[in-house]
Amino acid sequence: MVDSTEVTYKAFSSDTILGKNRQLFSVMLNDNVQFKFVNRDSIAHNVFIESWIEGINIPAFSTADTTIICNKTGVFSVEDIDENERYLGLSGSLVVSVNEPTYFYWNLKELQSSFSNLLDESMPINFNEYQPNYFMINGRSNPDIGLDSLAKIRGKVGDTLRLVIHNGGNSVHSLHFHGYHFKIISSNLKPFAIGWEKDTYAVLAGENVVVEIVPDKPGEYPVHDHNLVATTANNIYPNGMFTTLVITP
Amino acid sequence: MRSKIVILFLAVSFLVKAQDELLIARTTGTKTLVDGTVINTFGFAKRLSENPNVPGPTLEFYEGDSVVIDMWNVSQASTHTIHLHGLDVNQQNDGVPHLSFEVDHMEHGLYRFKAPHPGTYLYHCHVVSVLHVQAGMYGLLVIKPKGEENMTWENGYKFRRAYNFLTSEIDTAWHSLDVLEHSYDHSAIAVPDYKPTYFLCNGLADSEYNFGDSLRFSTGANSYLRFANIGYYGNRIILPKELNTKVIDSDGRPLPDVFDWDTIMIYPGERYSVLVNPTVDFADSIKIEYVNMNTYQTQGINKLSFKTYNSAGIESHLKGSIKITPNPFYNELHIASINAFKGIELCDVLGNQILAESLTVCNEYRANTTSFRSGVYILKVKFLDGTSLSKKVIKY
Repeated sequence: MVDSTEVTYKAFSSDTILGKNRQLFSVMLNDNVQFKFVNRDSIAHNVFIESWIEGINIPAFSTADTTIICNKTGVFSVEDIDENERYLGLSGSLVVSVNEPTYFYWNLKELQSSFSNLLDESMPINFNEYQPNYFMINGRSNPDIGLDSLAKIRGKVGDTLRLVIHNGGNSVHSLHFHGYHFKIISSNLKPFAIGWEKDTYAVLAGENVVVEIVPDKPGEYPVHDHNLVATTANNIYPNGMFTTLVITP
Repeated sequence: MRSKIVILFLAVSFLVKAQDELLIARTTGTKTLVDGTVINTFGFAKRLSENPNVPGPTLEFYEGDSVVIDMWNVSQASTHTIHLHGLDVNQQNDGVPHLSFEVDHMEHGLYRFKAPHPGTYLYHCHVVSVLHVQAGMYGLLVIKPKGEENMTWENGYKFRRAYNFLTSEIDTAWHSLDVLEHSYDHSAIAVPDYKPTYFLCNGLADSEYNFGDSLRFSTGANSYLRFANIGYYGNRIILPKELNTKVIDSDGRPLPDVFDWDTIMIYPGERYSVLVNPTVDFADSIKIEYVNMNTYQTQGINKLSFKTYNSAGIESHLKGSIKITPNPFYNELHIASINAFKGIELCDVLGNQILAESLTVCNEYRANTTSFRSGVYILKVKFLDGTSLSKKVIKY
């Protein structure tokens, strides 16, 4: 974690380097995509790909294959079916685009370190008592979020910037953008909000939302969870879900 | 010699003009909660003589106004800022310490912006924001369309009356001096776990809202309800179906479609506005549930009692809309109302004015009555919309 605390975490990646910041798969519309799942964990996993695969079992230290034709655009969740495994970090996104992807990506995630440690010891947890103490974007907290080139939004005045947000956590994250209103382009859980112009948007657990920002002035502006408790890490401010947009003239 | 006098006069004129709105940041406030518990607070006030309220004064501007907010930090502790939440101001005026500027002890900070779209916004301190917002440094900011007092926005919806609802929570552990008096180095500030036990709307909670006639919505006409959430919990706003609620705007922008919803979720930092237009006379309440965003459990409830009324009886809508405690009173008189008020007067039975306070817009006020003689007084509360209400009070 940002304060050097070690916490049990699980992740997947589209390459051989596992990391909390790499849980994004990008393909083109009508791509015929062959997934080869390699499970390096000591337990079996069952992976769900929203809209295409309800569950594919991958035994411990084994592999599984499947093929899908990505015949519709959008953002789709890629997750372990098991609630606890998903909580430990196995939650990401498949983005199907028409053109070469030019978007930023935020995978929102919070965790309670004591819960993660209990799960590591195969002990039960109770989400009715969930009080997370770490809050991350792509696995990082402030000030490290800016080190992730997919997360750090940089652009120019007049650019059309698209941001894909996936809430892979269990909590709601109410993101507030300084400097600019943005437009909701798509959402799997709140389709009624498409077309709304907002400065604060609550991303529900499991939600995939695409927002569009067209900056009208230069500057560096924060974006953060306005549940301000989520701007802390292990009760220390300001090491939580907080980053900035950097817009040049 | 004469030219020097003229130069001094011009300088004074400039300073006065720059103070379109003055907000005084204080860290020595206190707030009495519904059960009598007194907590330490930070906050904003418009005058040095005022105890900073939680929330701070509601700021109102008109679309297109060139606004200067002069924030004067007279607190003894931290630096402070004003973040103009949702106004999309430039970086210099954004109120984020390391990206804009901080206002030191006894210094002034000027925030300049042009009032954008009509709508509902917030302002709050962004220094150690998790702590300073919980401490009370926040308020509502409303922008109205120019020249159209009872319109939502140009070519929008007409309404008869508007009500503002700003929700938040209080965790008393965060209000101990050990927590509030944090380090000047803002790089690592420790805060307690957040476990609020008081759930506020316009700074009031629970039985403080059981006024019966607090809210009056006219039948056959729109009332405009602005909701804003500056707390750290989600709010589920449940309106009775008979109010015929239409959700029309959020975050200072009209929604592309109107939604006939009677339940709205408003998360931290969000604002939603609705029109209610009942067709029958009835009494009920708007329910606000405070939802923990990690466990999804409702941990607090506020009920805003209302009645509908026939438009012909408009002047009677304020009856019973204020709560005066205690009455009879001794050393202090507490006045609370769901309808924002801007002044109070207290006269004796002979009509002699004993107290006259012109206030910034507020929903509660505490008058020190230690020096008053025992006897009967008439208290007059002046509301924001120009109406007033008088009540008899007794000093023991």
